[in-house]
Amino acid sequence: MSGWVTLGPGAWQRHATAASGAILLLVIVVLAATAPLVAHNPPGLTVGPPVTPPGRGLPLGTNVLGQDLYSHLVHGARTSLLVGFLVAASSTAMAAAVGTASAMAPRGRELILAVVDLFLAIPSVPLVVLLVVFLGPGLWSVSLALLVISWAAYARVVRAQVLSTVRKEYVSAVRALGASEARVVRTAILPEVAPILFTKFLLTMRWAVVMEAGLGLLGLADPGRVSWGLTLHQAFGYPLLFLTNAWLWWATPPALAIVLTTVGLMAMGRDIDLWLNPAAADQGRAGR
Amino acid sequence: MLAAIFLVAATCVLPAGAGPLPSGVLRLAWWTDVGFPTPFAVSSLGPGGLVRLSLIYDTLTWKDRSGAIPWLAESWRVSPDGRRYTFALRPGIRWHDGRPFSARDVQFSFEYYREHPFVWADTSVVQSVRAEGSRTVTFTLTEPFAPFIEDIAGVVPIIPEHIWKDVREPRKAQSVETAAGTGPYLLADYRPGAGDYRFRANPGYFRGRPLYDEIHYAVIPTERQVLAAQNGQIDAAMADTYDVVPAFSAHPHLRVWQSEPLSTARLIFNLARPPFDRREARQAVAYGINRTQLATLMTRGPGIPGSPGVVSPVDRWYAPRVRRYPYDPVQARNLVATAGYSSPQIELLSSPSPVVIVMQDMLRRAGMEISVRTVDARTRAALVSEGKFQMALTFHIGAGGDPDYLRRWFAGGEANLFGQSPGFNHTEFLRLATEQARSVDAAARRAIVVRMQEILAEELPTLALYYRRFYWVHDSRKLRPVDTPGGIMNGIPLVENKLALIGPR
Amino acid sequence: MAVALRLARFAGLALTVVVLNFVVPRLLPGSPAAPGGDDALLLPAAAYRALVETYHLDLPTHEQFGRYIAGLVRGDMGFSLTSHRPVAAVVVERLLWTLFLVGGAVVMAAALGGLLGWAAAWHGRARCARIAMAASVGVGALPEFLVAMLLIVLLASRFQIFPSGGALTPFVDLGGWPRTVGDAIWHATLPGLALVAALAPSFALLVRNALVPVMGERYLATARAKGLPERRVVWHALRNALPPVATLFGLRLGAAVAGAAVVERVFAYPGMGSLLFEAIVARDYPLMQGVFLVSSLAVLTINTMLDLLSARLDPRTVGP
Repeated sequence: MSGWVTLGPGAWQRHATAASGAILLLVIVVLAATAPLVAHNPPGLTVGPPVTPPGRGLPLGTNVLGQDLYSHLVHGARTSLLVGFLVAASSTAMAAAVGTASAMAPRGRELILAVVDLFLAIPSVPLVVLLVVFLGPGLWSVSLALLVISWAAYARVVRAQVLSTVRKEYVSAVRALGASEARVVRTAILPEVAPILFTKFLLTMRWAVVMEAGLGLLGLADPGRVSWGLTLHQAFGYPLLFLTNAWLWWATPPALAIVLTTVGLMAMGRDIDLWLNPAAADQGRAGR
Repeated sequence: MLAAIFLVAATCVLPAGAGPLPSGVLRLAWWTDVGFPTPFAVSSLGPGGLVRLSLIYDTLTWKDRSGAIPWLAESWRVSPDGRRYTFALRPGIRWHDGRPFSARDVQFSFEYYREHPFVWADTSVVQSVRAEGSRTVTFTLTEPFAPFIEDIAGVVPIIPEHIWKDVREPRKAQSVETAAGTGPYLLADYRPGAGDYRFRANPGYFRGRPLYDEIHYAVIPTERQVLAAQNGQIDAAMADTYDVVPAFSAHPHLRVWQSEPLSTARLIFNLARPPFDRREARQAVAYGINRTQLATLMTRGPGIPGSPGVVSPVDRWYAPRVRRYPYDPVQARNLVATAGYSSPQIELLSSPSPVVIVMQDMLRRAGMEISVRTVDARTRAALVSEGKFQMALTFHIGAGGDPDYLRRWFAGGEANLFGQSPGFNHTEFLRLATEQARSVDAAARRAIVVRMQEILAEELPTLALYYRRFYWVHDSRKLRPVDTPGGIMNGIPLVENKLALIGPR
Repeated sequence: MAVALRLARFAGLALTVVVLNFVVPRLLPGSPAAPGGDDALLLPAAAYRALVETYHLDLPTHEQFGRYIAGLVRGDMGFSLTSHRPVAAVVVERLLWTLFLVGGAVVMAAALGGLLGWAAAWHGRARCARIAMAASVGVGALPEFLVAMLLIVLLASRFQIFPSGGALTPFVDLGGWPRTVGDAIWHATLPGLALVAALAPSFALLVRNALVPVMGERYLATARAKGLPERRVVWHALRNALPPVATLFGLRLGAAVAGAAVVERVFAYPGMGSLLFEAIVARDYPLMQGVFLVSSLAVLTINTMLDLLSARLDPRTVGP
């Protein structure tokens, strides 16, 4: 999401960032999907002595249990992407539903809004830690905890957008024609809210991937499920990580993987933003 | 009546080894703040607080490389029935504020602890304490208690009567002057939250000259301590895997001191619920886990596999001839079948640890599918004490010193919220547990403790998986650790035995 | 009228927070009195009973709730079950450090990000502006714990320029407060950098996005045509970008009171984030209540103030 993209004269330059972001993400998704084919060693298998540096057949060496770190990197992508997708999808859906309801529900709008405000008031990271401790570390509990703290802010944004849309003339027109509220939402409101939801989805996915790893690093990762956060946690728990070059082949790959994923998502976000809001982009160019 | 069974002559025990160590500041680290260092406010989470107390406060006895030695006491006598201990105290001891220490303080301490219990030792066996003059104090116990010298006299800090006698809420008394003892170092400064402690030498210490002008503690996460030691930011760092030993073998001045293997990784079984209500099922788990391989893998070095009798093989109370359960997946399968469980679904309760992954794998090969429920340590403790589990994994220290821990862990009743195996009501074991604690005859006690290990090995209310040493990377120019059999006090594998922190007068 | 409604809602939410504060910690499995951690020894029965009695953990829940509310009314948040110090004192102590570190980082991030965003919008073609913006966004893409680790390895270990943790050099009498402040800044540098790196890009993007459309608008051209000095033209544009930036700034500052759990833990910084983590691990109910109460009320107050200032939330800036 950076300024220079908008300045290029041609469409290709304009979309190059998004395209590279999408390609990057696609590569990671494909690697994750085909993990068992790409990495022959199952991640749970002990393939050598603990903490072996990279060598023949083990491109990234082994972890404390003598498991293949390359396999962990590839299989770990599944957890990260899954958590990212689950959280982003559920959080976006929830924000959309609650936001629309708080603007259009026949009754109880104030109550809905109060609940939204309550969730906004509870400090988020502490709540996540609390929830994960409460539910026990794991893919579902982490996803649930991240959903709980991530939907409320955008519910308000959606609400604001819906409110401003409802006031527009053509919505009144559609209503006057006798369309049901559901139809109004589908035909008139949704197109206006969609760009916000796309942005929200990508931002949340990026955030969730990072948070999953962060929670893992705090020791709140499920030791039974391979993930980038878990690999980082085990790496940073190794007392000699920075006394040897173990950090290079143990901690750096999952860190890079996280960075590449977030960069990919951000690059895509930038372009979707432009695509859905050409006016903003045009304005941006005209501004110069 | 006071026919002396034995009389221990006071010998001034000093750290061995040649050459003087430089004075100055000793910088140590711990992974968390341990609270205000009085016996009432200090944190009970982990041994860091108790060991820090031992710098400020003294106990009647202490431990050197040979075992229990007199400390505040000069000598002690025990009555033939084992219920009366008489300590002769050393003369000329002073509190940090200059007031003289006397037998009254000892009496006061134990009476005060009855009102405000000390978290690290159960003093309920002490019926009365009487000071006779300023240098003699007599303890009368409700019943003979063999671990008295090591687990009570050697652990309970003696506090000054003149400071505490009017304090109603001792947990909340947290000013530096309150934390006055007789110990080699006195509290100079404590920063709560940051977890920074500064101790200053007590120049008039009665057992020797403090080696350091000051001792500082800072909070450094465990995983970064070795790096901090390597960078010269601290003088000793703790690690729990062997690989630091080869890593520093060629270092010019950083050496690695290994504690005794006082930390145990063990499984707790719930004997009140299937499938582990059947002994065969527990034994199947024992046969199904390759403990030697697990030990080597997890400690990344010469691992010490768990003894089914719980007591570790390097302990002097170890019983070698208990049932052994060598790794045998076929036997494990057969036992599972004998127990009447075709393919048991077993849930393992554990805080996050890679051990479970390896165990899961091993037990699968022995015909047992284990699902892991990962929870944080408090949750696990709660579920175990409520009996809402089948099998739980725990790591803890204290597996050393006086063998009374076998009673406290497996027959301790209410005191034992954490360690017990629900449903383990083995009549003979419970009787022996009480008997060994009362046994005044050393040889008889040994026989009982051996028998207790045999029962534990046969019945398996718990399965010791392996023992862990703590490895202390330390600057050998500044610190010379002292080997302490069974750990400091009751099984603590830390480096800062105060004997290593004082020198000859 | 709108103001009254807002304040009424604030009061309602604050009350809900107070109640939730009591309920949520007790939903957690595990008890504050049971020994818990790995490497914890067993707790003797007498000591266990004493702890339970001292802190009334055996009272029925509704009586505990009564005590909690009565305490709050008196302004008393009780005693921490682990450090046995008044919760209020513990929280204030940690809050000051957190405000210093995280609050400072938010201010710096807003300033730095604002500058970058302005430069990107105004001098979009200039190579250095582009590179700076790209670098900021690139670093912002890194998870903050990785930046923190990187900083420790590089600047606290390889080159020991900064301390690797803590808030002050332990027990050195630095002689006077200027040096102590200097020491505090020295300790806050690395964690602060990690936080600024994570926070600055959103400010930069926000300012740029707010400025770019405005700068195309006719009134800027008019302003220029009128012969206004360039400085005034810039101010014209900036005023337009101000409301969303103020909103983001307020939100971040409100959230700052809860501390930065990850960075504080990595740097062993004695702030609110690490305090809450410790409280949860120990099931220190009064302490958890104190931390949640203070941080929730801070966020609630700032949100209400922002609402009253009628700043509309901008879709591209809010939250995750």
